[in-house]
Amino acid sequence: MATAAAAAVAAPSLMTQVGMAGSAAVITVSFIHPIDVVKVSNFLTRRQSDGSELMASEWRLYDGWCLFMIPYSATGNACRPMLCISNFKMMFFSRHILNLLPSHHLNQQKHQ
Amino acid sequence: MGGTVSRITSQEGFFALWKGVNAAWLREASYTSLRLGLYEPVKVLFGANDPETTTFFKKFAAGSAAGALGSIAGNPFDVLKTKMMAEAGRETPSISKTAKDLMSKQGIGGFYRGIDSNIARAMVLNGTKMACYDQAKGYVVAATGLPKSHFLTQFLSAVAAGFFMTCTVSPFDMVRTRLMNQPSDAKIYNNAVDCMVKIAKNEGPLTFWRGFIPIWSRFAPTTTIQLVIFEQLRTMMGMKSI
Repeated sequence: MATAAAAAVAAPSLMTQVGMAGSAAVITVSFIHPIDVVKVSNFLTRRQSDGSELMASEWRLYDGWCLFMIPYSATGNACRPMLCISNFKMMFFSRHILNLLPSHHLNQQKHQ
Repeated sequence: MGGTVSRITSQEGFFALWKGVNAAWLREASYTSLRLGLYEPVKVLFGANDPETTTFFKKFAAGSAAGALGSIAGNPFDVLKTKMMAEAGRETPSISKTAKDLMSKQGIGGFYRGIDSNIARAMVLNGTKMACYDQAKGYVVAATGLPKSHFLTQFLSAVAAGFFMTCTVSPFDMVRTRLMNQPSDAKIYNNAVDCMVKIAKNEGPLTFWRGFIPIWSRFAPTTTIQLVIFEQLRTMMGMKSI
């Protein structure tokens, strides 16, 4: 009898387990969400998301990610913001590589 | 990072830092509640009743299965969250408006964009996370003599789980984000496998771990806080620790 009671205590319902997990997840994401927003914003500049032009200085500011945007931006302005987000986690792309790009490439982007 | 925070708060207000949090809540309430909450029941289903004799493989399998189920439920909210966070301007985008826009432009398929890679990622992520956490707890308990329910045991195990999770998830994260956000009018990758092959071929296999530190910087706090809160809530509800 006592064993059965202990087993009942040890085996919580599926809903309780899922509920506890959900609560933990919701509390956690409330703290963590600003980091995600900053990361996305860091990658996707306000100017880019407005659909306006990119300046060469911004390309340099966002260094590593820009290299991904250069080939993709050929698909058109409307696609650019989404493509920017797609690579926001790739922070470790060498910033020096951008300097190797021909300068006219940046200028072409600027005037697109 | 500090500059971005001040720019966002000055231009859009302090609460802009929580832009899209409602979609994130929905995502967590569906995806994470299932992948964490189903771990123990699935583990029992797989015959892993005794924590002492349960193999790492069984723990990984249980975590993976729970992760896959959670991913199917959470994918639409994941897509919505990403879209809402990317919106510019002072006005916080409404989740229903974002959902309507997505529905009108891409149909129901838009909510399940990148589902194949998302499931694969969730299986690897949750399998690694729960199995490593479970396994690490055993090591911490053996090394320190602390009980499984002790905060330090949970904290150290969660930190270890976060690290190993980043190692296995980084490649899937890259594939997932590329697939989910590729434009509909200029398809670059056909599916997850095609995406992986193209990345490995064109950019080299190390590309998959290019974002390790940033991903870890996100996973480490999330995993630690999440697992510790989960365990504390379980204790409060009279449940035994994982």
